[in-house]
Amino acid sequence: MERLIVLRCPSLAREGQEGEELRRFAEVLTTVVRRCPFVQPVRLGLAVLPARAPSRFFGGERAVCDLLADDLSDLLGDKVSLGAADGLFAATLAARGGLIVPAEGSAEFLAHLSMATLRRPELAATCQRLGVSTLGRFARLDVDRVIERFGTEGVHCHRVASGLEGELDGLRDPTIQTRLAALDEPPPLAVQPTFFGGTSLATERAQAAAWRVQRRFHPSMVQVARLRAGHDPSERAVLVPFASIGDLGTEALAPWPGQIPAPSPMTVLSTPEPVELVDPAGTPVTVDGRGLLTGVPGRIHLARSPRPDEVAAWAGPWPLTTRWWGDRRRRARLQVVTSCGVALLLGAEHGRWWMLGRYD
Amino acid sequence: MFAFQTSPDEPRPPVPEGLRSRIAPVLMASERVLPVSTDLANLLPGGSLRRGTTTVVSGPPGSGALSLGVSLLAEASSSGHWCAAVGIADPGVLAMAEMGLDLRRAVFVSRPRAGWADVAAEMLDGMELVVLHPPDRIPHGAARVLAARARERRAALVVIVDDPRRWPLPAEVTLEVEGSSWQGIGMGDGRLSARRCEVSVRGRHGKVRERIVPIWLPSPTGTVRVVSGS
Repeated sequence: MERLIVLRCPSLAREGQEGEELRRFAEVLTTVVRRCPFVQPVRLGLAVLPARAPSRFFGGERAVCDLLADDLSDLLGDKVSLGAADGLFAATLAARGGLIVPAEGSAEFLAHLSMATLRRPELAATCQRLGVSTLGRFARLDVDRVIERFGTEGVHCHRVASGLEGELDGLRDPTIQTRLAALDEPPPLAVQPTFFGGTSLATERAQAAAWRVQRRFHPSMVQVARLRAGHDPSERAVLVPFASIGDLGTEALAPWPGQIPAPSPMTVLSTPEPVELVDPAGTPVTVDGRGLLTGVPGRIHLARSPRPDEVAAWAGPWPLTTRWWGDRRRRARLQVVTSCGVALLLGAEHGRWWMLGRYD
Repeated sequence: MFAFQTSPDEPRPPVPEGLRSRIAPVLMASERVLPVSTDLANLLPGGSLRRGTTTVVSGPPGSGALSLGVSLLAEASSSGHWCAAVGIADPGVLAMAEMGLDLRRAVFVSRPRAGWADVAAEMLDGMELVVLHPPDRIPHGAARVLAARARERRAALVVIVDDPRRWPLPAEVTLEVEGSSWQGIGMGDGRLSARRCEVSVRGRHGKVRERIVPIWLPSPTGTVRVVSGS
């Protein structure tokens, strides 16, 4: 899981009537960007940056936190706290106490924290009655029990509490980036499409059908989709087991740096398949240290195909910049169209090519 | 107290003979069809996706048939109709959302394996639209059951296959992607931006003359468009 530094400004967390907090938060980000260009707002008063590169440069995560706190002291005084951990959820909580949670230590760190940190009051109240008051105890519950009792949302919280998932749904304010960007612009007309409330007959029938399939076949057979922030099509959409209609909700996502622009592949392989990419002379083509192709792609051989196809067109490679140092993975993306007119999304990692998706 | 109180003893007036059948529920046009985007309406014979019918969308992997099948769901899902996708093994959910599918109205059964026909039948019971990607061999009996279930439950069944002959029954509409080419990508420059597909459109039993319509799938703005001037 990605090592992250989180910056909290509690005094800016709540928006006043004047919008002063948003402007001050924008100033905070501008100050941080001078040192660490990849800082991102999470929500008002909360920002995150990948820890790896700056801590190498400035000499450790603690040094980065101290430096940024020092930079911001003119702006905020001592009303800023920073912390680091694996994953956004743990890092946010670490920032509260100004802690640096050691790598791989997030689960242990989370174990002692209260259920209230999940920001799901009903879940916390029910768990309290069951005698489960900390994330650690919640994480020890059997996942089947959790899905039975709390549905998809509960399973998500369970994974977060166990340290398996780094990001808690609802932690990010999807509007924050556009709101920050709109600071210099006149306010747009606020037309929010309202979503229907209550359940209709059609909805009840749909839910019943999904439940019947789950009962007859497998409890996780029917899935629903969730969109989230990320770089790759596979990161940006996840399928989770269907629990009830009430769970269905996807938020609009703010643009995320480094993502490949639409259209996205209609097929995204859950397990990428190895691919051989060679130049017309048959020499393997890879991505070099500067993020460029070492040759001109001429033929592509897919794992399931008996023989190679000619490459008719290609675009890229696009390095996944924010991840270059986020974790130890250097990755790049390449779009390839074969002579049959089939477009593929390839990924390069560890000197190998993988097919990630197909534009079906 | 109540202005319109009726006495329980008063007998109800008899219903005139023949009235009952005349006031029996009439299906409004909007109840017989599911909405599709204007461009798809131009493509489909009859201008809509009819409930209770089967639409076959065909084309080899990578041709755009899957995109075309999903695009048929987009308008209906965003106007609140429920959709299920059965057998699409590795759905590119993000692309589906870009195509206009409302994910709050869609459920996925990605790998139903041997149970695909049963899953699809159950889904046709409750969902208003089911898009099915069946395995290569489709038993005649399974196809018949599904078509009948769609008819009974007034759901629309969209079947995505490599070759239209794989679906053993006549379909209300057959859309076959016959050729496609990507735009915007070169030899090391640009990026995939739009795909032009030639789609052959056929109706049941030659009721509608076959025609070839060029469409953008997706267009540079992301959704389906009939190529203008065609």
